[in-house]
Amino acid sequence: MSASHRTHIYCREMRMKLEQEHENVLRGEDGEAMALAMKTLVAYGEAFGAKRLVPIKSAHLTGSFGISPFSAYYQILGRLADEGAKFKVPTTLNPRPGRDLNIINRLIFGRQKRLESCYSALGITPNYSCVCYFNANVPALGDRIAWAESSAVQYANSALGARTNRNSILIDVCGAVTGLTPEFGYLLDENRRGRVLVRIKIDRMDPPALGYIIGKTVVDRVPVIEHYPFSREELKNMGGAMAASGGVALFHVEGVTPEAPDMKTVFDGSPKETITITQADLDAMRSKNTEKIRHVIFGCPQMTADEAAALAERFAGKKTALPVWFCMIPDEMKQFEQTGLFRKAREAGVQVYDHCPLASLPVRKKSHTVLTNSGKLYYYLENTEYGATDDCLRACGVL
Amino acid sequence: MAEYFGKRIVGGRGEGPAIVTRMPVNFTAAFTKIQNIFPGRRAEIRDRHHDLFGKNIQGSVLVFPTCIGSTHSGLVLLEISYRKVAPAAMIVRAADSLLASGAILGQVWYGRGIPLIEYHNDDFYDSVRPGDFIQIDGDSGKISIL
Repeated sequence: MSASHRTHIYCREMRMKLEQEHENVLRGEDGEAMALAMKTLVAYGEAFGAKRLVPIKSAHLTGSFGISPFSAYYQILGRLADEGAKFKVPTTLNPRPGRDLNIINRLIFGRQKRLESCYSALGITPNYSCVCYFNANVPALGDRIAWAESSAVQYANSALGARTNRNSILIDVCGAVTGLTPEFGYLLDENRRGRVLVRIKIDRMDPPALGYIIGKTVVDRVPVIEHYPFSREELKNMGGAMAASGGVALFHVEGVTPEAPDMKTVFDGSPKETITITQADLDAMRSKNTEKIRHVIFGCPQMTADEAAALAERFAGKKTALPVWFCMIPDEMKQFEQTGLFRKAREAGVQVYDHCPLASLPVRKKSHTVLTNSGKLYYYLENTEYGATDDCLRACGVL
Repeated sequence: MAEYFGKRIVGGRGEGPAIVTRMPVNFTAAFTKIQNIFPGRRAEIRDRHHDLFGKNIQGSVLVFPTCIGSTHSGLVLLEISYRKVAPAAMIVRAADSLLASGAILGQVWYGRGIPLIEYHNDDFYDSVRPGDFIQIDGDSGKISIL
């Protein structure tokens, strides 16, 4: 069956109203793969009752790992590139997977070079970081965007007040090549208000642990955390955990994030549900088995130069007892490498990388237990324990 | 036989034995493990945080509350559809954007979607048991426990 025939059948069932130029793409005017990209967005929108497709300001893609045993995604990307499709809005991309770390990673990520040339043909901004929102791709308050990467979606929605759903891999590509996204969910005011008030009774704040517990508890509702002066890096790390243990796309912090000037505004009234998270809850997350730890990882989501500098201070003049990695935003790693603290961290035995620890580490000895202060990495990586930052430094023997 | 009518998210018919969990599913954590990506290519849930750990969901009707976690969920659901090891259908209490995308992508690009129905009420979840044979019609939203 030809694509035009298939899309014809589809048009008759369609309830969403499309602009004439988008109808033309759907009919196959820009090629078969572009027609299917448009059809994907229409089907996606209709599943959630969207009435129209709206233009977006930018895209961020999650599919940055060329995983050999998977094929469908790469075939589709190749079809779009072969047809000459181009991203219609600025489009950034997640981190590289650490292909060159060892022979097994080279086998697993065997599609990496082909994947990167495909993205380059489509017109990617090669930032190679999940943390695109500090420099490479910074949306403004109220901007409609179509991002993937759960931690980036959440930062853009929560800390910047931009508007995106949690778009899946490939949905993100369809948004980028068409410059459109269906209007539903977090693009609409009514879904952005708070649902659950999170009270905090905490003496020693540990943002990733707090995020992990909130995600597990609220799952996909919008939490509003009582005022706490989180830094942008703390919002990043707390959000990354919340979007792994749960499906949270948007959270607010009273008086900190842009859509939560006060509790009354963010809840549009008063909260229907309240939860309380205590110091004991945070402490229960921390590893009790630190003697099994063989590797300590920092940086998921990837670290900024400021985060790396603050941690490097703690390693300066000492030697780490275990292998320790800093995984950094590539552009920020270049800045960090120019500093004296980088040299001190290296002398202490710290390895500094710009890849994704989640992709690069699954292949390792079973006895090789990882300790991390990342709630996200802890969720995804098998044989991993969570520790507050000081627990991680203690395991390295520098505290 | 008991019948329930839910909301169509992704159309199509499917039937199979029920696999039931009350825990949300993180498909990325479940399916990007060595056991699933090396030869053999099973559709086995390998998320150690999950009560379905070790279960093969191929050909089943998967009944669960919602989908959580990474935006790679679509990669996983598209790939298991493409390889023909996907569940026969899915019934979920709240369909989120990632789960729907995953079910849609296989249908649009390869003509092999995963029928998906959203059903909210407790009556179905209270009566369905693991292993019950379930038929679903994604177009009308009908769920039948045989």
